[in-house]
Formats: sequence, structure tokens, C-alpha cells
Amino acid sequence: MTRTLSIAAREIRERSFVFAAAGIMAVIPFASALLPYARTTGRTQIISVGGLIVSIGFTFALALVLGGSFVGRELAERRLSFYFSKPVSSSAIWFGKLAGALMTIAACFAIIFVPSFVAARRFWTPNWSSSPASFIVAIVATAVCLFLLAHVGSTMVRSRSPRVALDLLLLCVTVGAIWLILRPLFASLAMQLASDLAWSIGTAIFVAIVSAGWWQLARGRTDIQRSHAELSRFLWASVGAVVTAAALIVAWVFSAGPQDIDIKVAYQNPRGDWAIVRGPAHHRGDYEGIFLVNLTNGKAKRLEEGRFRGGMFTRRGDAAVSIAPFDLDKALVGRVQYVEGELYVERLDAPGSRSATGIRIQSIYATVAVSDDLGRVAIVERGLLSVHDLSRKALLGSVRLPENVYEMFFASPDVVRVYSFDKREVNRPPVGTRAYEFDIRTRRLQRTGEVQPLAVPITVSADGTTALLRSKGTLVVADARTLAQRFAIAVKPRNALFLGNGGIAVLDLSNDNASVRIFDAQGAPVRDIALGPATFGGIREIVANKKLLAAVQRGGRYLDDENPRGWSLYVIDLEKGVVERQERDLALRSQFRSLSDPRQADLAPVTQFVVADASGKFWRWNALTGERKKVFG
Amino acid sequence: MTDANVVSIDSMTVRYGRNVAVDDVSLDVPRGTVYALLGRNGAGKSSLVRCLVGQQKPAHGRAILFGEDVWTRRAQLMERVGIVPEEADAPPEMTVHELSKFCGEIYSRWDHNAVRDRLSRFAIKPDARFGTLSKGQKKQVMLAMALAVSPELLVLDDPTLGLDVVARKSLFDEVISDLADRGTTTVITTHDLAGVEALADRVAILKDGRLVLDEPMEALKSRFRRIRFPYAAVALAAGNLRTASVTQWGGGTEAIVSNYDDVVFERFRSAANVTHADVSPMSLEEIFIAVAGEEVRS
Amino acid sequence: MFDINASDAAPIWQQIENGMRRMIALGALNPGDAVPSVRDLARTLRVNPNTVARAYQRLTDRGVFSVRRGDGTYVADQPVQPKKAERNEKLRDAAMQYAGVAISLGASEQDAIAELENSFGRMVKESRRKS
Repeated sequence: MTRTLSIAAREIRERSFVFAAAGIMAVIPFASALLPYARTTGRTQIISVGGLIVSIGFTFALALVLGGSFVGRELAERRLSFYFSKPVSSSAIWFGKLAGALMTIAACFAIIFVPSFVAARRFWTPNWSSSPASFIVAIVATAVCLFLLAHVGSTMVRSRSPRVALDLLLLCVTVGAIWLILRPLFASLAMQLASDLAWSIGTAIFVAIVSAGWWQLARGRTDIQRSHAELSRFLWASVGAVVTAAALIVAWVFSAGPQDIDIKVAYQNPRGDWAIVRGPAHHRGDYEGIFLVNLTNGKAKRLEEGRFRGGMFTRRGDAAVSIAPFDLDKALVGRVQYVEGELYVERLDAPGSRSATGIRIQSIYATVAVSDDLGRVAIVERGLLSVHDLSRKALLGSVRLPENVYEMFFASPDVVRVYSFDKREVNRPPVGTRAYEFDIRTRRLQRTGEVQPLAVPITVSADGTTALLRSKGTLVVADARTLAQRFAIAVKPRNALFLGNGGIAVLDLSNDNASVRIFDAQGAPVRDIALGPATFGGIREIVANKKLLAAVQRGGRYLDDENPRGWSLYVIDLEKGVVERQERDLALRSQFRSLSDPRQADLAPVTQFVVADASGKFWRWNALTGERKKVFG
Repeated sequence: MTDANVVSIDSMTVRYGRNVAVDDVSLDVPRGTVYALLGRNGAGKSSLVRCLVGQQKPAHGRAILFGEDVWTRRAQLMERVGIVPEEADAPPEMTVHELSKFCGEIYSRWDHNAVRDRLSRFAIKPDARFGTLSKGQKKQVMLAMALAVSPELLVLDDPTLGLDVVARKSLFDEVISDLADRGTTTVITTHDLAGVEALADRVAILKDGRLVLDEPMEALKSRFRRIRFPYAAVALAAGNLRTASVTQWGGGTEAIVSNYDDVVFERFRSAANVTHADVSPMSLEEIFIAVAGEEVRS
Repeated sequence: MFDINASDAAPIWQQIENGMRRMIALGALNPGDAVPSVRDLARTLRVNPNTVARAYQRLTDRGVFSVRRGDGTYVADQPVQPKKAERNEKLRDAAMQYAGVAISLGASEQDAIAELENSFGRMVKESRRKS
């Protein structure tokens, strides 16, 4: 220990001239504050900025020079034998030299930095960093890293051995490997985990370099070739181990299956047999797994790209649509939401059929619709509607839309129907609703209908002929193509749908009290069923003509409100007009309808729903029996 | 055995890539011996010395100092070893005084006064920076440092390299007074054969990394003879006389004999019927040329 | 005192031994005189002390020097004269060697003998002057 200190002291004394240089540098900020222009800029500011620039510049330059010479130069000049011919251990030589050089660097930084910091503290503290201590630590740590890298580089270059080519190759491999390891974490937006792992890798490599220096001196001693060889061997072996460990950790992180996550978000498809679940995985930091899960057999598929746009189901629930970044590396380096994405369509009936469509999506705000045969896709983006053939990966046609689209669907494989709001002036509320049809065969856009004032399409019948519109506090039944009113029903609809028998069910939330009101196909009232206080909710038919499911919430505003508290589920017998089952503090995590298609799904007897209880736990709930089971498996 | 030998090198091989610098060399240096390790440039002397003091790891074999493996026990063993390296390796920025002070902190025993006395004899000022000293002064400082630990083994790697005659002489003088005072075991590599001839007890010659000769100086000098015959043709093979080289010139023959002794020579004389022969002993330099310089590599 | 020629072909110890013998022959050292210590002579001559010690050992063995325990080395009181037969043999050996050199150098017999007489005379003269 004392010998280590003797060596450190000797190394410092040998380079004492750099302290003098640092002393001269320390004067520069003060000297420049005396120059004529200083009057206008403010002397304190000049001292503070100058002190910062000079201290950092000098410290980093010194770190590079010392790192490149403190061992490498003596090795090359055959002067390292001075220590090795003395009764001092290799570790005393390495750590003594290391400590000496690092103390020199730190002292030089202090010599330049402290006077300007003290003199300009008033300006410095609020303007440069909330905590000067952490700032100083960051500078010194950076200098130490530069120092060590310079040491490694100088050893490798100075030996003039062809081995340096191998070192360069391994460096590239290492950098590439680390990027490949961290990339999927960034892609999954596990930023904290990625950054923790990156710091761990960095720290481990730091330790590896320090140890490699010791190993290099202990095994290579005065022989520069062997010194280089031993440094390389130790460094790359340990870096290899670190990278391998990191790769294993990442592999383990991604090995998490749907059973390893705490489900926080789940969406069930309209058909009820698939769900997209998402949540933090156990013991894996902020990594959240997203899976497409088959609820009947528990089979799951990871959907990382879904992070950029939570996947959505088609109206029949037979396909999932998601968007993945086109160029992941660009996405990771740049800002995520402005990155081009590629549209993926996965047929749920044939898992693994997910196909990269090759279709570029410019932003996550694009509107997407898939045809019923899953052969075509329509995309509206920046006012441009384009239709693509998925199997041929071909653009079938595109047209500029006069207004921003609200909703659209394939009325037939060749016709895309679009509803948009007529905005006469920007920044003013829309004054009407318009319907258009884009015919792919003729590539013509035709306005098919228009209503004023504004009417919001709630739903369109499964055959695409009739629409339910919410207009000025009444429910309007209209032709889906022309928006021509057939008749109106005097009810204030929050939500409405066509029942299997042609009747209409409406969720009425007037006066913050929920009631389900049933009308026949001509709009004549059949019966009302009162549910209790609610401010928000939705309904869906679960057994044709027989049962209706209503989910209502007190005090909520949104369908996918995170907090299940306040939600109530009602199973209503349509024939008897009574509430058959009521569940409090249970929230539906199933889509009432497709997010990409306003048409109602063809009804299938769906009785099992993904729900969340008040504690945030997810269940598969049988609406008819009230039984709760695990979501899958 | 290990007690008697201060240095013991056991089938040591040193390689640099495919080049073999030292090829399976084994040698022993008994306590109190002045061991001269000779060889032409590139014969492997310096590699051998670096391995000997634990600064380099041989590809094969090992060096043992005082009965301990020098590679693994270098730090401890260096307390007992003084080294004067081929190139003076002290930091040029340090003054001689600082150097001595630093070594005093490093070695458990260190004789500051001896250093001061020695250096004052050569008019080297204590506050002179090492880098500003002449080559001869640097070597003197290195030697003074090496001797200040009262070493049991002194390793001199070509100590007179680049020194003028006067500087060489004073350096050797220092070594000799150390020998006279303490009888330190010394390993010396040098090209100054005349200088080392008066110094060495034992001579080893390295040639292309191989140890071609290792024996007491006296035995070496007694078995080598230059013999001149006033005849053009002599049956040198007769009587077991081994010749290192034979040259013919103008009716005479000169042979360098490597196993001369009176009995062998008498036997040869009667066998070859030689009446006239001029037998002269050879200097170390001549023997070295005969042994190490036979062929000049192309 | 004598000097050691390191580049001389003869072994150092032999040069020291011969030098000592010559000094005694020349009268520079007389019986009973103390001879320099091994250390001093090694320093003066710049040779390994072991080599000096070896030369002294030979001279002591041959009765030229005598060692008084704890005191030092002295020139023996009565330098032992070699026996006559031994002396003659040594003389013959040396003469043979000289003759060999002379013949190999192509010197005539007269020249060789003249040179020998010359050297003899010089040696004796030097010895007288010293004493």
C-alpha cells in the first residue's frame, strides 16, 4: 500500500508542470472578462462560461494525453522496467500509476474550475445545473473514461502489432453486439431497463478495463507485445463475458410469456376469442410485454411492434392490425411518433400468418380500415385516402379527401365509404356530416350524402345499409350511403345498436341516470330498463334477441378508463326486460365494436368477457353465469 | 544445490512470434561468481536477462533466483537484486536526489549515503535531472542505485553500451570495488570483451539463442590455443586435436584448437610427426570470435 | 608495479602471477615485504578479486608468498628454487616455443639467438637498476 502511494506520489511529482499549466489556464476566464466587450455581456457570465469551457477542455485533453502515455509511453520507450526492477508488485505499479494520473487530472480540473466557480457562483448555480456536485462528478467520470480508453488505445497502437486489426474488429463486434442487445429493449420502450442495462454494461466494461490494465502489467510487464496481447486477451474475454451476460439477461427479459405479466391493459376482440394483453413483466424493470393471446387455448404471440400502436381488431375480430416502425434504428435514434411505420395484418384464424404489408404509415394518427375478406386495406393519412391490395402488395388507388375523415369502412371490396365532418373554417366546430364513396375500379371519389347540422355516426348495421346517427340530442336512423333520414327517435343516445331482430337498443344517460331503451325496427318504443346512476357507458348484444350487456360508469369519461372502480356490468334479459345480473366495480376490457370499422360485428354468441376488477386484476367473466376464470390458460 | 546457485535457468525458450530468441537454455550462476553472458547482437542476451529478472515471461522454462521462481516472486526477489539495464530507464524528469529518495521508500533497506558518496566521486550533482545527464553519468547513477540495496545479485545488461573508454573504465571500477567489498554475484552481458575478461569467473556464449559455451573463464582460456605450423599441410585430425578453424597461408598453417592440453598436444606431435609449432594462448576476444563469429549470417 | 593487459591472450591470474614473479626477480619486492591485499590489487588492476586471490593462492602454494594468519601476505623469506632437472625442462619447453615462433615467422637462427641475448641483457640490467 505504501509502495502504491509512493508510486502515485512519484507519478504526480513527475508531471507537476501540468499544475502550472492548469494555473495559467485558470486565469483565462478572468482575463477574458476584462476585455472591452465584457461590459455588455456581463463579467460573471463570461467567467462562468469561460471557466466551464477551459476546465472541461483542459481536463479532457489532459485525460487523453495522460491516458495515452502513463503506461504506453514508458512501455514503448522501455522505461517501465524502472518499476519492474524494484520490489513492487504489479498491482502497486498499476494502481499507483493509475491513482497518480487520475489525481493529477482531478487536481488540474479543480485548479481551473474552482476559482471561476467561486467567483461566478451567483450565475453558475441556477444556470448550469441544479446540482454542481453531480455536474462535477459527471465531468470527472467522463475524464476518467477518456483516460482509460486512451490507455487501451495507446497500448494497442504503440505495440505496432497486427493484433490491432483484431482489436478493431472486436471493438466493432462489441459495439454492434451492445446495440443489438439494447435495441429490442428500446423498441419495447423499456427505457429504464435499457438504460440500467447500458449503465451496467458500461460499469462492467469500466471495471474490465481497470482490471485489464492490472492484468496487462502483471502478465506483460515490460514486453510491449505481450503487454498488448495480455491486455487484449483479458479485455476482450471480459467484455465478451459482459456482453454475453447482457445478451442472456435480455433474452430472459423477452422470454416472459403472457403468464409472466401483470395485465394492466387488455382488449378482447369482438368475436371474443382473442385478446391483446399488455402489462409489466415480473422482475423485468419497466419492460411491458404485449401479447396476442388465444383465450380458448392460451397460446400467445409477442407483439412488440404493437407498442407503437396498440394493436386493434377488425370488426369481425378475425384479424389484428398493428403498426411497427419501418426503420427501428431510426425510430430509436429519432423521435418515435414521427417515424414511418409499416402496417401488419395478422389473420387470427391462421396464427403466424402475420404479413408485413410493405405499406408505409407516416404517423400513428392514420385511420385504417380492412375489408371483410381481409384482402384490402384503406388508409387515410394527411388527407389522402389510399387503398392497397394486401396479397399483391399493390396500391389500387388513392384520392385526396376534402376533409378530415371521421370513420370509414369497405362497403364492398371495391368501395370505401367515408364519413367526414364538414369544417367550413379551421378552428371552428364542424357544421355538418358528409358521406363519400371511393370506387377503386373507377378511382373516383363521390359525395353520396350530406346532413346538417352535425350528426355523429354511432354505428352502421352489419350489412352496411343503415346508420344510427346522434344529432342534436335525438337518434336518427338514416341511409348509411346518403345519410338521408328515415326516421328519428326522441331519445338522447349515449350509445345505440341494431339488435339481431332489427330492433334498436339505446343507452340513455340523461340526467346522469342510465337506462336501456328498446325500440322496434320502426322506432316504436318497446320497453325501458332503468339501471341506476351513470355518466358514461356502452352496450352490446350478447345472445341474439335475448341478452344485452351494458357497461356503465359513474363519473367516468372514457371507455378504456384505467380504473375499474365505478364501473358496473348489467346483463339484461331483452324478452323479460329485467336485469338478470349486476356486477359492481367490474370493468369491461372488451371492445364494443371495432376501432377501425363503424359497422356492427356479425353476431356470434359471445358470453365470456375480459374484465378487470377493482383491485386491477383481470378475469374472464361469464356473463350468463357470473363465473370468473383466469384470463387464459 | 539451490543454495549454491544464485541464478538457475531451466530450459528456457523465448519466442517473438515465430522468431526464437532464446532456444532451450539452461545455466547456473553459483554464488559469488561473475558470470559473463556473451553473444553477438540479436543472440538473445537481452531477452534472457529480462526473463532472468522476471520482467518477461519465457515461452517455456523458467528462471530461479535464490531458489524461487522469479516470474511469480519478482516483487519479493527484487529486494535482493540490483539491475543496471541496457537503456537507462529512470524517469528523465526526476533529479538524482529524488530518485534516491523514491528508491528509499520502495526498498526496505537503502543506503542513501552510499549513493551520495558514489555519485560525488563522479561529480554528479544531486539536484541534476536524470534526463540531463550524460550517458556515462546515467549509467553511473543506475549502478549507484543498483548497489545501494547491497544486492546479493547484480545484473548488468550491457552496462558499457555507448560509453567512451574513460566512462567504461570508471563503471567497471565501481563494479570491481563492489566485488572487492562484498563479493556480489554478478551477471553481466557485454560486448566489451577486454573489459570483462579481467572481471568474469565464468563465461557463457549465446549464439542464435542457443548456449554454445558455458564454463569457467580459466578453463576456457586454457583449452583454446592458436597453433602456427611452418608447414602447408598438417594432419590435424591425428591425436584427437579438435580444431575450431584452420587457415592456410603462404606455406604455413594456422589452427585454432579448442581442446588443447599438453598431453593431447604431445600425442598429436608424435602422431603427426610435427617438430615445429608455435602455440600461443588466446584472448577472450579471439576465443569469442572463433566460437560466435564462425560464419557471418547473410 | 606491473599492469594487466586485459586483451593479452594469457589468463589474468597468470599475468598477475608472472608480474609478481617478475617484481621479485627485479627486486621491486624483497623477501619479507608485504604484498598488496587482494582487494587493493583487484581495485588497482581493475580485475575480479577472485582472480587476484587465485594468483596469490598459486604463489603461496609454490612458496613464493607466505601468509601470516590475520596479518596479510608477504614475500616468502627464501624463494624456493626449482630443482635443477625441473628447471632444465621448463627452459627447454620455453626454448622450443621460442624456436617455433621464430621458425614460423621465418627468422634465421642467428637473428633468434641475438634477440634472446638482447632480452636477457635488458632483463638483468633492469633488475640491477631496481635494486
